[in-house]
Amino acid sequence: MNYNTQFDSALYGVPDRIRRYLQFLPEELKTRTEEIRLRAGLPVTLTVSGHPVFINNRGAACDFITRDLIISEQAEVNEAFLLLCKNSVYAHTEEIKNGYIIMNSGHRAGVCGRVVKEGMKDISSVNIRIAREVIGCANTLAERFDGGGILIAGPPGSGKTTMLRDTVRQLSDGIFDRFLRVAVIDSRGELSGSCKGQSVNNLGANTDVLLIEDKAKGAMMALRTMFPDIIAFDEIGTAVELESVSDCFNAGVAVITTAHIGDKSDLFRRSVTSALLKSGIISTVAVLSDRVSGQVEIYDIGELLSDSPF
Amino acid sequence: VIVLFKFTGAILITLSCTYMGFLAALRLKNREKSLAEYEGLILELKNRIIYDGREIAGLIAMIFPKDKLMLSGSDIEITDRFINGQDRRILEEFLLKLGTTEEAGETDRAQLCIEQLRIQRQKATLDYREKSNLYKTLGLCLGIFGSIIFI
Repeated sequence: MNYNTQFDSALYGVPDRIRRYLQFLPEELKTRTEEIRLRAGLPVTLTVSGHPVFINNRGAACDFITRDLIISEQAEVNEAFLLLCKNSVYAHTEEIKNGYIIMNSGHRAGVCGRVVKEGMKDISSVNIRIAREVIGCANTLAERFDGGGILIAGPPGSGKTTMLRDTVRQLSDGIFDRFLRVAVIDSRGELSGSCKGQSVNNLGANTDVLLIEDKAKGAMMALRTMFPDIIAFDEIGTAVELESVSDCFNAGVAVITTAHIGDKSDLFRRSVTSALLKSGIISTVAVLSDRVSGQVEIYDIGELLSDSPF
Repeated sequence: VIVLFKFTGAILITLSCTYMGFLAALRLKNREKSLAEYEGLILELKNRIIYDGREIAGLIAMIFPKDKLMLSGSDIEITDRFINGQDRRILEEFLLKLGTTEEAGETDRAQLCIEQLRIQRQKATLDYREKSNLYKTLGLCLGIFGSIIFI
């Protein structure tokens, strides 16, 4: 996957004037860019390796606020919103109600504005999150799959979703002589990059994608209808989701999921992850460190539980 | 020879003027027909917005024939030759904001456009009834008048 192509493909949601500055940024900067943020009346901001970077009117990137930064006007933020919807707001109503738009190229754009019954109006900011598909990043983790559940935990932006996607791909494609049926519960289209039924990201040959906002309900639906070996979803966070994971486990289906944590010690401090680890559903835990160091530590559950101070 | 020349000339002048009168009348008829077609196409667009959920570009390409509407880049171009300026303005106003609101807004706007086109079509029908015979007769009379002068 060419990162720069990914960056350039995300630019279709950016108005012409701003796009002209962004498309000529250095390739190295494009590679490291994670987000493009447009806020009405404020400077255009890129998130590069977790840090905000601004663009000045000479097309150069800078780390501090100066007078010559490119400002995105209100009209441009609105235009970006329409571009992201491909001038078809009605076709994205359900997504907009949940605060995001799935882009054709697998990226996802978050939107902010005035929330009304029908969706959102007076759009004030747009955040285009560039999808990263890193083939092979989960080699070690997928290799350790033993039929039990996997939890991928890390701080926001550490690459949990990317790792989950690659784990699913490898297990589904039978990389380690195990062709497993995987059902992916994709609540925001981020895992599959799914648009109109077509997955942009490679999730493997044996993967079924269920796009549903309610992950717990989705897991139950997939369990009953798709007869999977593995159910995978992003960001476990509620007791209901924990309950559905438990139901999957009781039905003999392994669960691969991710969780937000600050660091390893949070695993037992947070109620949902702590309960998940103690339930016996999870057998392998991958802890990702922040995006700058990019380290992955993989633990067996026994190892973690014996180290746990709780 | 001169008489034959004058006779042939007179017939040609009469026929061409009458034909022009017919063309003018036909243009009125075609405008009415075009407006009726637009009404039907926008009604289909409205229904597809509700039930299909496809994006605007796909719907326009699928529903509208090339001699009615055409996508050129991100713009939608009205390609019909028979509608007048006022009909065109109604369509342009509708197309300009097409896709910028949620489903209910789109369908309301489509319905409004259909209603406006219906009024325009009724006017076009009246125009046709009132003016088609006038144009045809006028063409014939002009032809005869031209022929007399020619002779």
